[in-house]
This record gives sequence, structure tokens and C-alpha cells, in this order.
Amino acid sequence: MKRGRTGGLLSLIVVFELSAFALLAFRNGALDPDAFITAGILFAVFAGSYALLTAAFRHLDGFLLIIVYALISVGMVVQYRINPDIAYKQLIAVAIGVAAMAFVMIFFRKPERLNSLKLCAVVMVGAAGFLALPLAIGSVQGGAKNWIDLGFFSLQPGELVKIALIYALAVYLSERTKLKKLIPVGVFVLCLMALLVLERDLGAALIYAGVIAAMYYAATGNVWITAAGLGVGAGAAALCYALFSHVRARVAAWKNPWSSYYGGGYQIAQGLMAIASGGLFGLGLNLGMPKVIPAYHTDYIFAVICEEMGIIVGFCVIALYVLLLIRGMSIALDASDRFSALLALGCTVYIALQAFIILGGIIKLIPLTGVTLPFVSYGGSSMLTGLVAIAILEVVAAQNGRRREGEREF
Amino acid sequence: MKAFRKNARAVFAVTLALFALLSGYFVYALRTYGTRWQTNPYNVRVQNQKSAVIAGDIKDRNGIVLVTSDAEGGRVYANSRTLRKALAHVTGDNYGLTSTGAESFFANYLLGMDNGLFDTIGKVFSSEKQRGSDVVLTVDAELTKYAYGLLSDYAGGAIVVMNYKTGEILVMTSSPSFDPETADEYLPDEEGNAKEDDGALVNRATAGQYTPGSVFKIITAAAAIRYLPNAMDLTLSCGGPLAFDKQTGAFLEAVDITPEEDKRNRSDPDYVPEYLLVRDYQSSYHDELTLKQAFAKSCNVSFARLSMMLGSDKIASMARSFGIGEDFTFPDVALYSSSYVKGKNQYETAWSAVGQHKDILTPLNLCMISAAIANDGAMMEPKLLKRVVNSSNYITASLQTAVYATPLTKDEAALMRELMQAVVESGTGTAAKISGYTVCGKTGTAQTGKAEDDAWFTGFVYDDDHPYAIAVIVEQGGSGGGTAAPIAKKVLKKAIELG
Repeated sequence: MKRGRTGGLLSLIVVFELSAFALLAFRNGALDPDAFITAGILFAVFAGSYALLTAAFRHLDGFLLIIVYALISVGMVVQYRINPDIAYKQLIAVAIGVAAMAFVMIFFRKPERLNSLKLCAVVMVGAAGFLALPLAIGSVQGGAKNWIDLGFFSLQPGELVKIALIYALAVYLSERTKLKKLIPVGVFVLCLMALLVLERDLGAALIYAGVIAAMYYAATGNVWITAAGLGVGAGAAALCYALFSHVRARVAAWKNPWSSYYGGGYQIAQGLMAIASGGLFGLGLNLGMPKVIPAYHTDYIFAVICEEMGIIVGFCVIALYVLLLIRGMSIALDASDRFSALLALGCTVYIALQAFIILGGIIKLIPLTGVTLPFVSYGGSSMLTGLVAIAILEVVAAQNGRRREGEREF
Repeated sequence: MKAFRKNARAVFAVTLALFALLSGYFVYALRTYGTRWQTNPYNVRVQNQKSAVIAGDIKDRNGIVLVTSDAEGGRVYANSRTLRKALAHVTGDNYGLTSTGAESFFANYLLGMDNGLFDTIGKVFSSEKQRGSDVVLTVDAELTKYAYGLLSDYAGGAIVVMNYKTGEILVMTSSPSFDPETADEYLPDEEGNAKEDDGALVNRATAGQYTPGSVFKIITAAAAIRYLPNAMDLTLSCGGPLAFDKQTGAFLEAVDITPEEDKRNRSDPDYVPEYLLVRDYQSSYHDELTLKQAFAKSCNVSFARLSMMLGSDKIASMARSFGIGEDFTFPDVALYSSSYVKGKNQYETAWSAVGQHKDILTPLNLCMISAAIANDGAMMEPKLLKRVVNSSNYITASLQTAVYATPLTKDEAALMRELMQAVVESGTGTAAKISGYTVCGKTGTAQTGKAEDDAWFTGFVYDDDHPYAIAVIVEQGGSGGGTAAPIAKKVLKKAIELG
């Protein structure tokens, strides 16, 4: 995608943000200037980072960035509609995330320099330790013990460790495909999965498993081992079903949320009612009743989007993830070395799979597991992780662009 | 890198497929269940809308107002208590006690939640209290009241009348019933006490999962017509009860029990049967019968023989094509599933072929089965919504007829009509005869272990100007031919009179 063509798309985000925040600014009769200030800051972050990054990288994939900014915008509008205080916190998370993204892009221009077993070993040990932290000093939220409370904000190691997982797999799988040589990363992966199950963060475990299978298959093309791995995963899932009553409750609620309405089915039923009540065009921003849905601003934000902005906007959100998937796919397929390609593939699959798992759970296609909707849900850890993954994709995209330019010159 | 790209493409294809599945399912689920999710009594948005909007009227097909709203938005029901009770399960109540009545099922229309984008925008700028749309139902209130009255002497039951060409439901009444005007007595009061749940809130026409008894022979006969060559020329011998092995349930061809012996055994209280038996109703046996005669006389032994010729798979497949075992998701009616469970041996299969064993039918499903036979094999989707008229007097929705399934071919349907006509002309259902009209039907007397048997009749008037199909169940009513058939006759006759 050529620069300049995508810059124009930023104006679409401005139109969306302005109209949505204007509606919110007048919702209580009196003008609420904070709504415009929030919209202004948000757009300043987008435009500033876009300008900086297009200046720094000739071959930036601007389109990818616009997709992500559009998703963030939809999320911010809903956060502000729910509660401005939540939106301010989310705004800080967006700012930090975008800064981190820019930092990663600028300081790791050449990803192949990171392809080192020594660095990888450090990352693996660190990541496993980090993920184990909530077990020691964590707090329980929503049946899962996967948070660390740091006072001002809380951190979800399960999110950030996704990047470490993708990195470690890329390092090992880029040069080795024999199972024996993969033992260190295999141990690492098993540790992570065990920790997630111990923390009862089964949604994250599902994403990890999907990313591992996708990266392993892409690197080796070994159908049998991939299938066997997925089979072991399915067996583990069945074991979780047998062991944990909350998993059984989730499955029962998925089968029929109405019959267990006052039990596990409440959230799913509320989500379905909200989506159906919105209809094609929605009840209108601020005209619905999203607060009756548990986790309305985090996991269940998609139901709120459908209720107030309509199913049509819901489909636009799904379409944005499909576009993101396609961009990520072309970056990965365009990469010249296996390490970069695996990084790009892992990041793309992680975002797409996470979106699928929560969207599918909300619309009752699959049992519900509580994970955030990337870039849209409220949550700093999720936002930071998502934006770092985008940074990795952009680094690979820029590298691809440089190589293509080089090819043309010779 | 070449191999890598190939693998990576496969990974991405799978991921993209997940999103295709997601979008496809989303569209499907919204189309199939969307309105139900929205109008669910749990939905606080509907409750909220009730206080903001004056709900529209519910009328019958002739314009009789069944439910309206007063100036404050309170619900006002028809004056006649019998009419209110006769139609209680169709109109539903204002408290969400019956989640499938029009008050809940069509709440999106009644509360104006179906308004388009522009109406919604208009609403924001207008301060006056909005009025929802009026809903005109397909039911005939007078006919329903009459039908409900016929059930009043019995423990319970249901009557459904459909137009078999369009699927419009003219009568759907369930007894015992409740009065929607005082339905709040079923709600817990401040001490948490509520009126005892006496089953009156259940719509037996759609949610009554009854043992069908001999009306199920319609399905077995249809299977015979489809799968057995020259079914109409078969001779089925019925010289006495059929014996089956007590352990294996296998048919014992060699065992011969005469009708006299069987009668004697029946009257002997100390008799311990040696075998498992399939008997005819009141031990009246018939020697040799054609399929038509066996159907008209409702001979269990003949149908037990048929079941062994067919096998349970073929009966199950015919049952399935009539919607038995399907999860119905009709837009207008919440209909519970009927079911046919294949027998594990010949004995169980024999009883399942005559509507006992574990067979379950809902009255509306049975009415749809008769309607399909009348309608040349095409089963119409049951319809309750005739028209929606919004507060500006525009018709915003109207009856959309749809074929739900085609269980029979035209020829098969014609043969089935021949069988069902014989029932009313000369068989067990003569009490349903209406002079000047061709009435076809089937009786059923289902043994349920209660003091009296459940009485069934289903059938139709085969007439282009009066295309009415009916299903009647009278709980503990005695025999189908004695109790249910006369009721069906009265209701159909009244339907013809009312036009």
C-alpha cells in the first residue's frame, strides 16, 4: 500500500469519532467538553504516531495501522459512553501502547538481530516466571487468578507473555524442525500451558494452543504431529471439563443459556438479548441498556456495540479483523526469512484467534471463554500486547519493503 | 521458504474459514432466533419499553379486539371471561408468565421496537408518548371460544384448527386455561406466595407432549405406502394377538392365541401372560384386512405386522419427514419437539408403530401432519401473525406463507386421503362425518396409565373453500372415536358455518 492513500482513511476515523463523541457530549442536555477533549487527544495520538511512523518508515503498512486505530476508536466511544472515567484510563493505555509500538518499531528495525538462542533463553525464563507471578501474588477476577494488582493499575501477565511465546517459537522453529531440537521450547510451552490452567485462564490457554499449532504447522508442514498436538490439547480440554465445575457450567450455559438463566447462562442470555434488541441499526448511542450485561466494557463489548450501534457496525468490526488478518497474512507471506515470517504469522494468528474466540462465545457459536476483544475491549495489558504485536508486523512489513526496493535497484 | 509459504497459506485459510463460519452463523442465528432473543421475557429492554410506549392492540382475524391499552398504557382485555380464557395462550399475559403468547412473542411490534431508522430518529425529537403497532392474528376468536367450550367437561386438552393451504392457525386453545386479566395471581406476592401452578399456564397445543396412540398409524401407513410395493393390495391377517418373546422381544410366529382365549385371559385377574403381546383395542380382532380396512378399523395387530415388514428405520425416516424429532424454529409459534424413539426389538417397534412405546406428539404437530396430507403433501409453516399495522396506519408486516417441508408426494398424499376418508366413512371415526362434505381423519386412544385413556382425533375437511385441518386431544376423554371425533365434527362444522 502506497503512503498517502492510507492517510486519507484517517479522516474517516475523525468523522466517526467526532459524530460519536458529539452525541455523547450532548447526552445529558448540557454540553460536556470532556467528550471533545477525549476525542481530540485520541486523534492527536493517532495522527501524531501515524505521521511519525510514516516519516520514519518509508515502507510502513499504513493500512494495518488504520485498521487498528479504527478498532481502538470504536472501543473508546463505547468506553466513554459507559463511563468517562473508564475511557480516560483506556486513553492512557492507548497512549502507552502506541508509544510502546513506536518504540519497538524504531529500536528493533532489524528483527534478525533478535534471532539468538541466548536471548531466547533469557526471554523464556523471564516469561515463565512472569506468568507464574499471579499464582504467588495475584488476585482472582471472574473465576481466574491471572492478575497482579500494582495499585494504580493491574497487570495481566497472560497477555504480555503471548509476545514472548511467539518470539520463542519463531527463534526455535526458524532453524529447527526436528522434535529433539525443539525440546527447550517444548518445555517452555508446556510450562506456560500448565501455568494458565493452574490460573484457570482457559481462554488464554486456548489462544496459546492455537498459536503454537499454527506456528508449528507453518514451520514444519507436519500434519500428523500438529494433529496429534491438537488431539492432546482436546484431551486436556476434556480433562478440564471433567475437573473444573466452572468449565462444565460454561458448556451447559452455551448449550442452553435460557435454562440456566440465573446460573451460568445469565451473561450469554443478556448478550444475545442485547444484540437482538439493537437490530440492524442499533438502538442508538446512549439509548440502550448495556449495563445489564456482565463485563459490558471488557469481554462483552461486542454485544454493547451491536445493541447501540447496530448489527451492521458489529459486522464492520468483524470485517476489520478479517482485513487485519489479510494484511498480516500478506506481510508474513512476503517475508524473506523464516524468522520474520514466523513472527508475523504468530502475531496475526494470535489477534485473529482471540477475536474469534470471544466473538464466537458471545454469539453462542462456541462455549464462552472470557478473553478481551483485541484493541476494542477495556484493558491495558491487552491493548499493550496487541499494539506490540502490530509493531512486530510493521517491522516485518518495513523490512519486506526495503528488500523489494533493493530488488528493483539491481 | 516455498514450503513455508504453502503451510502458512493453509494456516491462514483455516483462520479465514473460522471468520466465515462466525459471520455465517451470526446471520443464521439472528434470522432464526433474533426475534425470540429480543422478545424474551427476561429482556429488561422490553420491560423498559413497556413503560415508555403505549402497547398496540391484539385483534383476531375479523377485527375483534382481544387486548388493548388504556390511556395510561395498562392492558385491557376482552369483556367475555370465556373468550379471554379460550385465547389466553394465544394472547399471552402482560407479566411474562407465558413466554410464547402474542404479548411476548410479538412484543417487538406491539411496543414499536420494529420501527425503522427514521422512526427511531423521530422518536428522539418527539416528547409525546409513542404508540406501538397493532397486531392482527390469524385466529378466529368466536370459533376458538366455541372450541374451548367443548373441552370444559374434561380434565384437560387442546384443539388446533389450521387452514391447510396457508398454515394460518384459526383455533389454538388449551384447557385448563387462565384469565390473563387476573394472571398476576400467579406472581408471588410480598410474602412470596403465588397461586398454585395448576398447569393452566402451559399451552398444551404447542407444549403438550402427549402419547399419540393410534393417530400415529398415519405415519406408519405413510411409510408403508412409500416403502412397501403395492401397499394398498396387501392383506394383513389379524386372527388374534401377536406374541413376542419375553426376554428378546422377538416375534414368535408359531404361537397362536385365538381371540376367545385372549378375551378369557383379559377377564381373568390371576392370568400371568406367558408372552409379550400386541393386542387390539378391547380384543376385537378382524381376520384378513387390507391396509385401508386395517387403518379404518385401527387394527393394532395389522400395524404390528406392517412394522415388522418396514423395520423401525423406515418408520423413523417417515416420522422425521413429518417433523417428528425436529427442533422447530417457526417465526410465529414456539412449538415443542415431538419424538419417535426406535424400538430395540420387534416388540418395541410394533408398539412404536401404533403410537405407544416412547412416541410423543404435540397437538399442533399432529394438525400440521393432517394438513400436509390434505395439501397434497406440502406441510405449511404454522402462522399466527396476519398483519401488523403501525400507529400511522401503515401495514408494516403481513402474512408470509411458507412451505415448511414436503413429507409426501402428491400421489402418496392422495392414497393417505383415501385411507383417512375410510376412517370417517366406515371406520372408527364415523362420529366426525359432516353431511355434504368430505371429511378425512384418524382416531386415537392413547394408554397413558391414567384412569381413562387420552382421546385423539385429527383430520380435515377436504374442500377448497373450507380447507380446515384439525387436531383434538381430550385428556382422559375415553376413546378417540367416542369423545374426540364428535368434538372435531362440531368445531369443523362451526368453522364451515363461520366461513
